[in-house]
Amino acid sequence: MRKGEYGLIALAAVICAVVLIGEYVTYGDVFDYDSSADADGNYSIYDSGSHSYTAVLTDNGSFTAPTELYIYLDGDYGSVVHDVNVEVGAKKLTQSYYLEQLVNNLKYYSVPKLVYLDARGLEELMSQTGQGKGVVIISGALPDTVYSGTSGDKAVSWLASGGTLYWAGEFIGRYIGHADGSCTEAPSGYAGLFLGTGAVLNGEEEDTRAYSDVGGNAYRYDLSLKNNDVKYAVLIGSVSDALAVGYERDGFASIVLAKNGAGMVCVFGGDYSNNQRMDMANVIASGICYCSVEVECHTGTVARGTVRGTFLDLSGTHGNLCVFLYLGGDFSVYGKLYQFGS
Amino acid sequence: MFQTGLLSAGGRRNLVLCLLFAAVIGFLVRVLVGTVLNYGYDVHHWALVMSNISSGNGLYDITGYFYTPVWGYFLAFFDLLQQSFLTLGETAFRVTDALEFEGYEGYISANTTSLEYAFWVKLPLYLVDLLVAVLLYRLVLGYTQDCRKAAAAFVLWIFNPLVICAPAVQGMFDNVTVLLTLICYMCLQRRYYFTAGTMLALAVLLKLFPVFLLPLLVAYLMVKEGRGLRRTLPYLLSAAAGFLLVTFVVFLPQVLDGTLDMCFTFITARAGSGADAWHRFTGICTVLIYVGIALGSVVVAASYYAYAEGDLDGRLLTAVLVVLTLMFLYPPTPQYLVLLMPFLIAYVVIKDRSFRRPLAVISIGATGYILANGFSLLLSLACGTDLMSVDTVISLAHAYRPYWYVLYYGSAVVQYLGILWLACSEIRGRVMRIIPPKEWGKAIPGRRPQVRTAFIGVAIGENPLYKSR
Repeated sequence: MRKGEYGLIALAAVICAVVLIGEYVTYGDVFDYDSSADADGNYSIYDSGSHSYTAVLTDNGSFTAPTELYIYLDGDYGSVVHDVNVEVGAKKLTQSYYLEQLVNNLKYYSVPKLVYLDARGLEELMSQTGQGKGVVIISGALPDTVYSGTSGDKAVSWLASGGTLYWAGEFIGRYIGHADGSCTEAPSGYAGLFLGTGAVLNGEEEDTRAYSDVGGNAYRYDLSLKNNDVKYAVLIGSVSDALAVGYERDGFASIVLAKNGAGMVCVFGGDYSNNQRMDMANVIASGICYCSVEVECHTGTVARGTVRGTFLDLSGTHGNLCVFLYLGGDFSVYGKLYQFGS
Repeated sequence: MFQTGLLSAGGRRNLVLCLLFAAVIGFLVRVLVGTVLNYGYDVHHWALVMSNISSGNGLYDITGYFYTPVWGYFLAFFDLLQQSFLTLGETAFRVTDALEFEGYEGYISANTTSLEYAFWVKLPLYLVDLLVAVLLYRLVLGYTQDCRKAAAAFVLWIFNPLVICAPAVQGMFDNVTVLLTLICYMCLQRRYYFTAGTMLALAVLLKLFPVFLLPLLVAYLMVKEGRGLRRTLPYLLSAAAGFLLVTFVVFLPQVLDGTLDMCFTFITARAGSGADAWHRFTGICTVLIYVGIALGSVVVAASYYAYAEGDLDGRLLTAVLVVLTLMFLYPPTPQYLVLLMPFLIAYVVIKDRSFRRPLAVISIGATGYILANGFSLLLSLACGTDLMSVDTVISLAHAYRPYWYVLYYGSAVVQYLGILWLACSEIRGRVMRIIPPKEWGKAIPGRRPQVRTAFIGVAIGENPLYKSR
């Protein structure tokens, strides 16, 4: 090898080393995160690297966020899922792929219990009390094991008993899925079963993108909410005991959390999208509810160490407090919810 | 770094100083352009990929990364450096006031990145540009022994607007593909076949296009080592070992965790899994066209194998240019054309100055294409500085919207005309000539009798039958 050509081989070796190190970083789980919070308003966040952090203190009143999360997916039962355009080169956004990614999001948010359910499992779940339990349904149709479009259905009474339903895709309650893969339409007034009489859902107009934030709270920024599609979304003024967060167009909000008996229904607007999925993860992980009041939010940057802070404004709060700590802002990498009863 | 041939000591010093000056200016131009103009759609994806890696989800567990893994590994390396030494804070965010952008034509997003993040994620790409310039200098010097020509190639690369804008504005990594391809090319010339194989594998797994050069590079190796499988097998095996080793190492994690199919969604998603029948149809057509290009590249390689003699390296440069031109006859997005640039520049400097015209047209067209998103490219600057408000950017973008078509389609047409001009220049007998069917099957004078044009149909370079006119 001539002297001047060592450089070429050295350059190739350096590139190979960069790729190998990158591969190790990608799959070697090299970054560590941790956090803590207590009822006195103290919190800490540790990051072995460097990210922005957000600490959100919320007063949830009498509501306790679910600690067990169930995810409905049954390929045999009828569902109403629309094909959506995805980014160039991206995998098609099917129901199972959406949920697979949601679970991965929720895992780094330290959600303690995540269980997949089929239609029979959902029936079993909804035969019990809903207290402390949440279920994610994005199938566009509720299976006939729990729903037939009447107020006596298991799905409806489960909510009233304290269950929480996180819903995305299609009009909530409109379709009933059957074991043979078909779907039928529920009688009119289906939205009222979940959101209260008079609830209005947005239609399927061509352009349902919202261009402004929901007013009255700062969760859009403090929970890094991104989905601005309000198709199938709830008209804020048409539901009582509700909280709207995210983006708004003509009174329809991208996310609405509404009281249902002792439970809650949370409707995410829009067709399937990655923004919607990330919002769903953030809302579930943050533990917010229909009566949430954001008390305080701290943001900053943590770099290769621990940041500690104290929420100062605890005097005015009067219910269950929850502290949601997360790292990374819009593209989060870690998060954890801490709940403190009143 | 810069070999300076036969220049005097003073001349050498002046040349090195001039090139260093050009490198510094080129670097500063990139920093300036990359700071002012930022294509949030792509760059914010790099932030997403990094966050997916940082959250323990690798490249494919959460959507955001659509290529084969190599660029993801580069991003992971950058992520490690950022996490270890920098404090960037919030890297990406969604700008409510700019949500209207997403209703505009083109891939314009209200998502953008902080100026700091954009700078640090693009910085390695600027350094890659400098490395490519140095390699191009050495490549041309190797061909010509003329340091002035080598310096001309250096400058043409450094100040090419497409080469500046693809990484600086889009944050696109095609110049890394160029770097790897050039190293492979130069290693082949020097008979470092194992290293050449590793670099080609990385280049292909970074952005696929160099795969079309594979048959030609194999033909070059075989011709260089005396033709015939028996004579060339050890060298072929050496190159193949490098290629396969890298491929194995790159894909090992995906093989182990069962996400190998996700590595190819960039291809498979184009081949029929789109949302509607039209997308599926165009996707299948795209794949068929690329199959045709692959066949074309095999023909060029076979032609090289059959005819090349004497100046093998010179003919290789010509044949590489032919394959790349063939590849880009299927209209590319502008950043893909960065792969064409070093070889076209080398050809202009070494062989035929008249090719500078298509070079200029392609560069200008592709640059216009990149800049077609207009004032929306200023969003990061508006969010990160007081130089202008987000409202101003939105007003300007709104005013520009009706004219978007002009720059977008206009520059796309100019870009493609440049490619056609290049192809025509090649076909007009300067580089390549299609052999008429009546001459197929005729033996080539002075060559082994088994080499017949019937097998090939295309002659590359100044071969005995088809000299340049």
